[in-house]
Amino acid sequence: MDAEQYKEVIKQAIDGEIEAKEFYLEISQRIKDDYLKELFQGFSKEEANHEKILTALLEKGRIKASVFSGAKEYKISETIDMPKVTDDMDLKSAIGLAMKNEEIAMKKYQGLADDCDDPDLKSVFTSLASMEKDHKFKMESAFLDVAYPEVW
Amino acid sequence: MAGLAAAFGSGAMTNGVSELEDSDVILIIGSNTATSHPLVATRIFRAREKGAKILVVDPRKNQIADFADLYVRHRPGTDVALLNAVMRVILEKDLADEKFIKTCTEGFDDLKDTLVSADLHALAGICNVSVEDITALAETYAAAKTASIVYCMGITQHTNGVNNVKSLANLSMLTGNIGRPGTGVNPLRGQNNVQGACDMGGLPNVYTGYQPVTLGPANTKFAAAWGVDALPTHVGLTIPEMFSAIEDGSLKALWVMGENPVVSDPDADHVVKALKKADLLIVQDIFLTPTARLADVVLPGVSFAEKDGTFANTERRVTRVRKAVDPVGEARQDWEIIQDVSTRFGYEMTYDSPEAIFNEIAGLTPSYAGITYERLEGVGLQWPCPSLEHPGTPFLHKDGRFTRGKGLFHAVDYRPPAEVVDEDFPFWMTTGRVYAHYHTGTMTRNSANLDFEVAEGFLEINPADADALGIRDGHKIKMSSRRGEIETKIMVTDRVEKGVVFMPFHFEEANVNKLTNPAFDPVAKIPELKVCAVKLEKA
Repeated sequence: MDAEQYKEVIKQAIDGEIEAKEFYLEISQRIKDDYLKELFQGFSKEEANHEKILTALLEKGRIKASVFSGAKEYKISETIDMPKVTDDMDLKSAIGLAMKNEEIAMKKYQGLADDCDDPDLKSVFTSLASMEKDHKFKMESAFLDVAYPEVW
Repeated sequence: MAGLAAAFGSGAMTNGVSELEDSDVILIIGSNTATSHPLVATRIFRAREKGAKILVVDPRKNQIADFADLYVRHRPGTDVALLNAVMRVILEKDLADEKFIKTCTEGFDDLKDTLVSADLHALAGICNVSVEDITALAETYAAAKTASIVYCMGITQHTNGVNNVKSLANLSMLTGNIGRPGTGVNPLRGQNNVQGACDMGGLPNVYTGYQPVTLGPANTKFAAAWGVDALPTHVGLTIPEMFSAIEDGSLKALWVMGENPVVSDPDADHVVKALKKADLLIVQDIFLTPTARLADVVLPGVSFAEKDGTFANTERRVTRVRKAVDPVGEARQDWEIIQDVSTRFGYEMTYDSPEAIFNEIAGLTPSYAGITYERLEGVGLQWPCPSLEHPGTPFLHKDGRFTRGKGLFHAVDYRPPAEVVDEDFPFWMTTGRVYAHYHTGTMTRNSANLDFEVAEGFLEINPADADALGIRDGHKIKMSSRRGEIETKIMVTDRVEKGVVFMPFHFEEANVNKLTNPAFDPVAKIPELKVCAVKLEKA
């Protein structure tokens, strides 16, 4: 994998984070509930943070596999369907949406890594998949806090 | 549970039992822990050995109060007044956790207005607790790094039980004692598998895992799993509502499993009258209980030692129960009885084991989805456990991230019990348990050794009241309320204060629930078993 090819991959990953950042910001602007508004603003900031991390990696030249642990995964995201975005969505759906998006991103990079013959490029995709897995784990933990209430 | 659900978004015990050992302060209120939950009490004693301060609040000086650093005896049914007074002192002394309140909660201003506008001395007068004790309670609880609240039916079995629980939630959030190990608001369940029964949808309005019957997705999912086109979407009846429905003729048949309402429910004569009116009463139990004696059909079920399956305990921990002995006589596995009846009614059930049923539960219940019999080997798993990779959840609302988002304070004002003392019925009466017996005594009173320990009912009465009535230990007395009367022996003791009497409810021949008040909390529908007004006369 040459440097240009590497940069292109990371740039696409950065674009993904920017897209997610704007997506959450847009939801935060139209959602009714104040708490959820704040939550989606937080998601947007989190994606901006991911963007910064990837930008820094791009500037350093090469991504290190150890940057992202990707060690933990509950696979909770895999147990739900993608929630629909609505103006009056509930907290569970809101966090579920973010969790599912991280799962989709993780699987995208995992798929790219699986299909890649270039060992260097494969390593980059694997690292990015690990990064998204870390994000997914964080969202799964947040989802666990809200999704299984005892209410009757 | 409704109170915790309103405040936090979930009604379950917030923390695990073992975490109590690491609490700096444990506030026990409305819980006779040493008698009714001895294993929980063991954790509390260990915490005490490690230096924790134990605060006990109860109208009756129960066993664990003997080990308390501070015991506070308040008047029955005045919990909200006492807790508001405690919170007012916390505010006055600037002991509230402002950062937690600001970042993790909402509704604080309303609570603050209520507390600030209340008169501390007036609240102290209502609950009959000195301002000094209220202050000591407030300072000790609020100063702790990790403070846990433990409560039981002394809090919930009131017409304002939900407000009592909301007040405890207020107290925990006010001081930031929630969402960390060793903190929280912890309701102790009344029996070993109450949590499990509720988890399994043994409630009028939910399927397993608290999935509402009124919601389309849950109905569709269960209908598909059970191979039917549709399932009912209306909410069923609570127990008090069932008795009323029998009386008005809208409920014709009742199937009671492992429950003895003739002894456990308030206004017992009224319960008997209702049960006798039912066209068909089926009772499934392990002994011929007072309720079973009224039944048209008795189905002999099995005890815990004769069955395989799972229990879910007070801390949401699902554990295995294993058959140790074969069923006695004609007794059959409860699931087999239900399966056979269902099949004969035309809906065929073909489960071949409790594990097969459990696997269906896990498949339909997101909070149980990661639990299997294999994973339950050992100490079990605490739900939510939504996937096979998940290790279970020791405590809820981590770092102040509540199930509902932000924790909600409720401004709650004191309301008196539904029935208060007067000239005709001048004594406050409260009920509870003694160490030798379990609930309505259907099991423990069949044990010769346990029945020998406490063989009959008794009424605890303060020495001053006994003197005034001219009665001594062991004398018989007639006790009556607006609903009935019973005769019982008395025990003179300063465990209860002047004007208050206590009686255990284990004894059908001196059934104190003939006297208790069926008035219930409007939200939780729990009857006010812990307070009523009675009259005492020499028998």
